[in-house]
Amino acid sequence: MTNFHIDPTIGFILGRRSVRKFLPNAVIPEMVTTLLECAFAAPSAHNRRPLHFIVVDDRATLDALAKAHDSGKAMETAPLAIAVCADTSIMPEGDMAWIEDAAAAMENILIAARALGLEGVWLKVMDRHPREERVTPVFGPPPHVKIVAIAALGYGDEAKDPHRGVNEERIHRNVWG
Amino acid sequence: MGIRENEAVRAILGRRSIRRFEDRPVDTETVELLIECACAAPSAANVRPCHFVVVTERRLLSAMAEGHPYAKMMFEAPLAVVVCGEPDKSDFAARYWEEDCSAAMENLLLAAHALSLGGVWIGVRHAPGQEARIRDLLGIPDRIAVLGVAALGYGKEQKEPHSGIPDGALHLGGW
Repeated sequence: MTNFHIDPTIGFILGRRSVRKFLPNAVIPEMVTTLLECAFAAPSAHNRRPLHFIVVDDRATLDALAKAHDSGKAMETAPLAIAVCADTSIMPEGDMAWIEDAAAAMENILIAARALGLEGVWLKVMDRHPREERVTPVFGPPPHVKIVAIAALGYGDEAKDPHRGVNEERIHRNVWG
Repeated sequence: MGIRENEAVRAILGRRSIRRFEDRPVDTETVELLIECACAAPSAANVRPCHFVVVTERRLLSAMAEGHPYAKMMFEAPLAVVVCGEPDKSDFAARYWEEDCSAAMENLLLAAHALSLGGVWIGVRHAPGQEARIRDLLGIPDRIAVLGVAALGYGKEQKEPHSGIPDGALHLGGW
């Protein structure tokens, strides 16, 4: 579509695909720290910063998550999972903008992973039942903390083509239509 | 090269909310690439519930700025992308359009930063009265949800990159 694709960041944004099979290689701690730093760098509505992250790299917990999550097969091979959580108690009554903050942070994790040679997949948790009720106790958060989603991460064992192009029907110029 | 010097990591850490813009348009090719990056965001069950309204008309940009308490920068911004969702596209879209559209918004902002633009995410969905107002202004149908607006342009302010992990926000193995 354009020749800007050579910009490395653009390349990683377009190249990020959902990868669900992983090699056994561990992710080094320095990379995990960088992924988390990128997660915390996501914007937050009114800068309230309600997010917490749970890092899981032990096989027993990853296997427990894979079992508890009905679409969680990726965690059977992933050496790393990061749960994106929101502390809803710091939000004004009824303000659900933490959903948006969590999603932006998740996207940062996935793009940073791709940039570091890793791959991953966004596994939704919240608002699926009984998935949410099965997965949340594995992490054991207090009641005011929502487990929004989990990133399963590692060195990919499958390759996919990058995204290209847009669906023109979903682009509108100045006004709808 | 250290991991933190990775160009995309630098772009992610370097993206800050930019609210002052030069009086300089963003060319069409760049706008198209921003939208392509937004469209590359993941969506639940690949249902792709997002729509994008690309606004470059000054009259509309100013009208969006006028009625929103936190959108004065749109008087200056040459470009806005209104990120919308279509909740009735499927059961997955109904549950997750907001997460999917937020990922698309983040891609837009990261791509903008990578292409030397600046921008800021103006929340609409959770700002009382704003969703109806933006719908009216741009002729967006009622069945379409409005997540927010990316105000974009060449930045006229500089900010330090993000760094570090806040105390108490990281948990290992479980909460």
